[in-house]
Amino acid sequence: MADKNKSHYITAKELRRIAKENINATKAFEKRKKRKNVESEYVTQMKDPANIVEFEDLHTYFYTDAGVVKAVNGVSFSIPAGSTVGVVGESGCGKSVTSLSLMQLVQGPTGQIVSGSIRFRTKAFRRDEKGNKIPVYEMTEENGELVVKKDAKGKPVHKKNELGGNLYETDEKVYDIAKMPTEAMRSIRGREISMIFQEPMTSLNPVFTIGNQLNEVAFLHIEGISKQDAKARSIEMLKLVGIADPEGVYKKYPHELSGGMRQRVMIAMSLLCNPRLIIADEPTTALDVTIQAQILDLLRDIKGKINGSIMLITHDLGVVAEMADFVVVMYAGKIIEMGTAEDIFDNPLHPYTIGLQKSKPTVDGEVESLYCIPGFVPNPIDMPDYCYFRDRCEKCKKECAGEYPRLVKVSDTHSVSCYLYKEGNAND
Amino acid sequence: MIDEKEILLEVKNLKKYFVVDTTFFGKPTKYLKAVDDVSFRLEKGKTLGIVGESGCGKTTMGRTVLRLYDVTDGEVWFKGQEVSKIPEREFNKLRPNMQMIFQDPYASLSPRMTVGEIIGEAALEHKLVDKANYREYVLGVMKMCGLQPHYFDRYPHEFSGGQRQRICIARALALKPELVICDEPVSALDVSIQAQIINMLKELQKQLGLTYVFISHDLSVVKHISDEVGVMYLGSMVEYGSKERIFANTLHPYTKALFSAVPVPNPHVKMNRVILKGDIPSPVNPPQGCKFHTRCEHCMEVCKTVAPQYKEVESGHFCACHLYD
Repeated sequence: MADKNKSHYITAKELRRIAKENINATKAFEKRKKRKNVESEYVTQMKDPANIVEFEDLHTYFYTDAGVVKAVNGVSFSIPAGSTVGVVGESGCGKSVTSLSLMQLVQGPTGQIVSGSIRFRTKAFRRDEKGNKIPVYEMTEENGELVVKKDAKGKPVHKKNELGGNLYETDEKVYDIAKMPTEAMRSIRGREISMIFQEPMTSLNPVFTIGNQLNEVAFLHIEGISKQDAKARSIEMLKLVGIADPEGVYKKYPHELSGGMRQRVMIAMSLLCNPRLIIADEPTTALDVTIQAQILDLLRDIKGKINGSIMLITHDLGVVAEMADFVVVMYAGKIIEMGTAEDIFDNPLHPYTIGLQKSKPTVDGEVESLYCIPGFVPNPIDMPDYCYFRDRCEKCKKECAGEYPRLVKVSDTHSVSCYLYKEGNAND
Repeated sequence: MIDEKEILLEVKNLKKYFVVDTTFFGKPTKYLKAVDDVSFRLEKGKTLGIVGESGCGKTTMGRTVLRLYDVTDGEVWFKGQEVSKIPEREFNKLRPNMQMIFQDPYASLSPRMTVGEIIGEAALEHKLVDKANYREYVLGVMKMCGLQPHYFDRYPHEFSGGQRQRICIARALALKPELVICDEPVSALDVSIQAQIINMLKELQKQLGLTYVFISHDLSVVKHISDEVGVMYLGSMVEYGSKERIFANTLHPYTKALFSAVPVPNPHVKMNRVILKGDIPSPVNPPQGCKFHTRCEHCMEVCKTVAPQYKEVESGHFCACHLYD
């Protein structure tokens, strides 16, 4: 029996109106994704040249049948080159959607990057007038003149890059991923940014061998790589992630491997093209503690070897404390606190961060009863216009009924979005 | 060791083998030894925490104790009765006393029954309550578990994970059990919801004098809730003792590795970790001798051939390792 007093009840008329609005809104976004040859529209500049990624006021919405869900609602942070940034929060807080937006993998047409920008420093191919890539050829000296080397069939020989593929002329450019069409994104996705997913059981294809799946990545992203080179590269990567018998694993199917081994294969796959940024989306949640320790150790080790950055998404505060240099705490689609790992763990400011840390039992501490944050996360469809945490907060003040608090800098590295704190002052 | 305290549950040399291969005539040739020789005793009102990696047989052990699986060998004594050998019909009378809370609150609730039906069905079946008082009884149980009365006519899909887990707990408690086996009740939940459920379980234990067997892979949770802790590896108990003893004086190398693998939410602590190499071996053909010797850093010659005895190293602290012979 439908009950009109229930908050989640929607009339048929209302449903039709929402559906119509959604179609209109998403059509425009889908059209924008299909543009061609519009590079000038998405080339930008970094605010700080030391960063590799900068999120600025990112909004990613889901146009569902029940209304618009603002999964990511104004998120701004940056990932400095060579560092690990941990994004923590409970399920549904938008941490995964943030990373999917960076990869342009948000499931359309429901999910759309609505506004904001994601600036990413990347290696972009130089193009000629026709939009083709400009190759670099091997040169030889003939009769005292430098000429392009030709092979037996008279075709010019490509110079090889460090991965064994053809070398093209490239530029260092900054792209705004939020505005890029899908076609252009393909040159970045997998090659410059790669992702390790949560479920190693479901993210490998069960009907292909590990070697087959690794080689596929190489063939797709490293143009002109030979079969032998691809195999050598795959086996080298399997060796790098600490698999004892890489040739054996190369021939195996995913079901023959354990969870930890599969996650290693996933990491090997993500490293194949020497990415600048690895997004690890809950890489150890499905694994046991002992295997988790192995994988975290491996990730730390690898970051040093490839000289890249890691964006680590997790709900486990212990994992973040161990891995991350910078921590971003998210709640209901917004950043509520961010800073260095020391800032967040030694001096947590936001009541939610404090509550989250108190509610986790520790192995060395002993408490009679755990702290629990009262109440629930608000309904994502009708978010209140005051602070989202107000109804669960114990330190609520009069100002909290006003508009959503801005992110204030309490120190050079540490910012928090709460009315309890003022600019440059971390002690209330 | 004769205690005047009441022993509610005693498990002696419990074994549960699954047949994986048979001859043409159906004679089993290969076994998966999911639970291989586990013994412990549990006092009334206490909590036993069982930890171990996935595939070590902790869930199978819980289910075998409840006789959801038939026992291959060994004895399970519950309130002075041997439950593994009594006939099914008699055992059904005992069933309300032993209940289970399952891991996945999304899969363990029937989507076609209302919350009231889910919680009350078994109580009605076991004649703990008659039809006239049914609604009040269920509402009472729901209140105890922090569920609002108007949830009575709702369906499980309308609830979040934490609420569903509360429904599962209410379903178990509606039968007024004495022993509740909690099979990873919080591992599918968020940290802040986890705290709510753990606090509630502790609160209910105090109120109703429940006895828990708490199965989990999260050591910090087990430490928080348990009085005694058992560590399992490949179907066997490798270490067992009171919580204080196990955490203060860890004996078995596997337990040490397991404890050091837990990430600590403090960026200043740089632990000197014992990182185990390799994966857990297949329980179909476990290693000869000590099952842990393939990954153990203290492995000796004797470990490769002779299986260590499970014995009392100090009072109330059991361990199966050749280091303490």
